[in-house]
Amino acid sequence: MTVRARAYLLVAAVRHSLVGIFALVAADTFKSTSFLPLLNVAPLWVWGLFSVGAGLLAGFGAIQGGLPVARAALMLSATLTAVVAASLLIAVFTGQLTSPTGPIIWVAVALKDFIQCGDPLRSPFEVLMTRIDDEEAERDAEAT
Amino acid sequence: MDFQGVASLILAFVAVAGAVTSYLLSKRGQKKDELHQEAANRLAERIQTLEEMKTIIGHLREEVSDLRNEIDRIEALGERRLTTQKERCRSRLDALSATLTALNGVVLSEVARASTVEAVEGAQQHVDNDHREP
Repeated sequence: MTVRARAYLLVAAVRHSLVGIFALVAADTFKSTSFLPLLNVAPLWVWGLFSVGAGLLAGFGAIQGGLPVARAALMLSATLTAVVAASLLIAVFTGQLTSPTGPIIWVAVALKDFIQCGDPLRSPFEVLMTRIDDEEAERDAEAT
Repeated sequence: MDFQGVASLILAFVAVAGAVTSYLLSKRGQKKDELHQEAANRLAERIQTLEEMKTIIGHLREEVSDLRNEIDRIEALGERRLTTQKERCRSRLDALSATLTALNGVVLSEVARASTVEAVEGAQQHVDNDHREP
């Protein structure tokens, strides 16, 4: 997996984990009416669990470097972020949120997640470079 | 249906659409991954083949250089032999010329002797026959 893909997953992991942890341990702080569309679907702790789950999956994918886990994490992140973005947009249209900046940023982050889903996560030369490195290490070992 | 219901429906739709879209995009990303990997593998094979051809060309160049040196050596050897042969031929020729000259001298002296003998015999005969005392 490329360094860029790992960094992206790590950032997503931190984002989802922090939002999820806040939703789980500091639910009282989520008093803004902008969250009402979300809270009408499910209680905050459910969204907190989803968010923490997405964060853990993304973190695991970033550290382990396995493509299936990374792709699952990106799909979950994109979907969750899109739902939150849609919820904030609804809040803007219903007057429950006055500033549009929140929805703009969440929509942008959701779109970035979707773009990352559609991109390769690995450099095609990673396997070859690993093979060349292994062969050179073997040759050095034989030389010594 | 109140607006909350509609909002919930919209969010559910966004969730399903988001999941499907992310899945399809992820499949496309995976496919791109595989295509790039195939292209990189083909490129690596081509580089490997070129490296092998480079090695073969290196060996062939060494062989050509060795052959050139061998040809120069044989040519030099041939020239020395020819020179030696030429010298031998010249010395034989010189010897032959000397022999011929000597032989020629001998032949000439033989002819002169024969002519002298003939002349002497002729003169004697002339003295004996033509100048007999009565």
